[in-house]
Amino acid sequence: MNVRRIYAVLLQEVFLTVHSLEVIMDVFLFPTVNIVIFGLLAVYLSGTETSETPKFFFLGMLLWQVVGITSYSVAVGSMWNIWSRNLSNMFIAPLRVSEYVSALFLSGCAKAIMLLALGMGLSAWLFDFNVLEVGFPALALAFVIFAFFGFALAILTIGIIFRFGTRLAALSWSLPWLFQPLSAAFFPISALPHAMQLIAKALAPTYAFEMVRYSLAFHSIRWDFLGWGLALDFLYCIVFTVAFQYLYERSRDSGQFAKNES
Amino acid sequence: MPVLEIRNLTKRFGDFTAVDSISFAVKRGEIVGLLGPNGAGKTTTIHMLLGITLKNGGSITYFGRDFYHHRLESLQRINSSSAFNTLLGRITVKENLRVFAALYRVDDADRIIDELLKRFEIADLAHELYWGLSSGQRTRVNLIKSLLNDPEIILMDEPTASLDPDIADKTLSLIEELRSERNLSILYTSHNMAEITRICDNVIFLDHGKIVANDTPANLTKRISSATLRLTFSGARSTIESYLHGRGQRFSFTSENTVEISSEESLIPELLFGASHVGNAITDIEIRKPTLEDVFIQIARA
Repeated sequence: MNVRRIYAVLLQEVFLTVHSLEVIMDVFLFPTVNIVIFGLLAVYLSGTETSETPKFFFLGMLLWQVVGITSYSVAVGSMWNIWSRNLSNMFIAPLRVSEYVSALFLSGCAKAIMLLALGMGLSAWLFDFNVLEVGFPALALAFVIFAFFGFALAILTIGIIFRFGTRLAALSWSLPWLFQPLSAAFFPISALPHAMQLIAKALAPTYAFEMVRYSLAFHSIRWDFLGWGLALDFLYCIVFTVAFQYLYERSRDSGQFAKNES
Repeated sequence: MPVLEIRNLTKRFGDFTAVDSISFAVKRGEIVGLLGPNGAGKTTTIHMLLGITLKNGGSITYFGRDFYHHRLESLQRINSSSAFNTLLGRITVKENLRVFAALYRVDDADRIIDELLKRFEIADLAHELYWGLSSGQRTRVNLIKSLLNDPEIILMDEPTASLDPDIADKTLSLIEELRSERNLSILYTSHNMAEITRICDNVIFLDHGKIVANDTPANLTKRISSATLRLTFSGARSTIESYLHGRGQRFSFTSENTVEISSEESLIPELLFGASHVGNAITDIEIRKPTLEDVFIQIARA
């Protein structure tokens, strides 16, 4: 990996974000609106609920943004280059695919951190809830699990788009949201129907949410949840990276990679 | 050692062979034209040479090293400009160029970008969004992008497509200047035969994925030995007609006083002399020699 080439892609991300109202809205405005809505809901519920449930709702929405934004950044970041017919230009430069997706992932993490900071500030200011009550270590570790899960989904998505064409572009911004109800974001896994629990147990974010809820309630980290979350992330990243590599090679072999821009 | 050498390069898409075991080389400072009708395999060849489409067989060698084993090193020394690829529309010209300068690890990038923008007479567009540029302006920005890493060879895929004749002419002049200044090698695809004739040292004709001709533009046009002689004359049509019949020539009258004769190029002086001595005054002469376009049409229809 070459740092200057990663910097080049990050530079493109910065320029693109600054110039694109859509990116600013998708990455900052809409998630902030969601955070505020869930904050208001939490405030309302806290008048009727005695448990930590309102805070769980709020944390579920806030932390899910990490999955959404890291995935969006890698997948939609690639789509911007395809839509502009610039992806080939990028790859006929001496750029490794690993450098390209790493840069997009770093950009996604930076955006997610900015949004989390904004959400935490709004939460403290408007809703009198300090998200750091969860504990910084638990939040940071959950962030890692969410970010890598978002990355794994994105790498699979762009592999599919490279291979089968831009008619599947909608996956790049919608796929993560299919997993939100399955990841026990807003409620304990036990609240899910049995069949959904089986799926939820196979998803890394489920364990991150359980860990965060436990930390909020008991002020300590459940290491078993952390271990499962990281292990599943590792598995998804490996499997989806291999799948991406296969789809990318097939795309170049079938000529689809070049056709994506025509 | 050639800058680029291709041996038995083959690409199949299922049962369809798009590029069929082609071999050629591009020497330092040489401009090679890649010609052929639509679907001949030109763009697939360029895509394989850039690594965005995988080959099924054969070898691609840049600077004496196998491209597939030395991909990044090769890409650092080559570049490409295509009418079919654009830069990122949402960001400015200079921002796009800064991204590519960083990708190619160009030192002193700002100075180089500014110099190239001035050289291509678009310094005033540096801070314009790329998507707001005209086709001609985009072509120039794309050419600047292709020069950022001071490449030794540029692969150009119809760089003047969709440009008006004036801008296309200026673009070709720039390409000619760049070649002579930097001893640059260029592989150039185009449908414009006049362009190819003007700038290419060598021309490769592809048809159905195969190389059907590989020669200089002058030698290729010599493959067609006939030329057309158009004479306008005053006086009786019958005398010219009987003279041409007597010489066994193919001809047709396009008007009462104009005849078009298709003949071997070498016979034209003799025919001119003879036609002017049969009692008619020749008032206008037009000789149309075969062009690369004629060769192209002949090959495409063969």
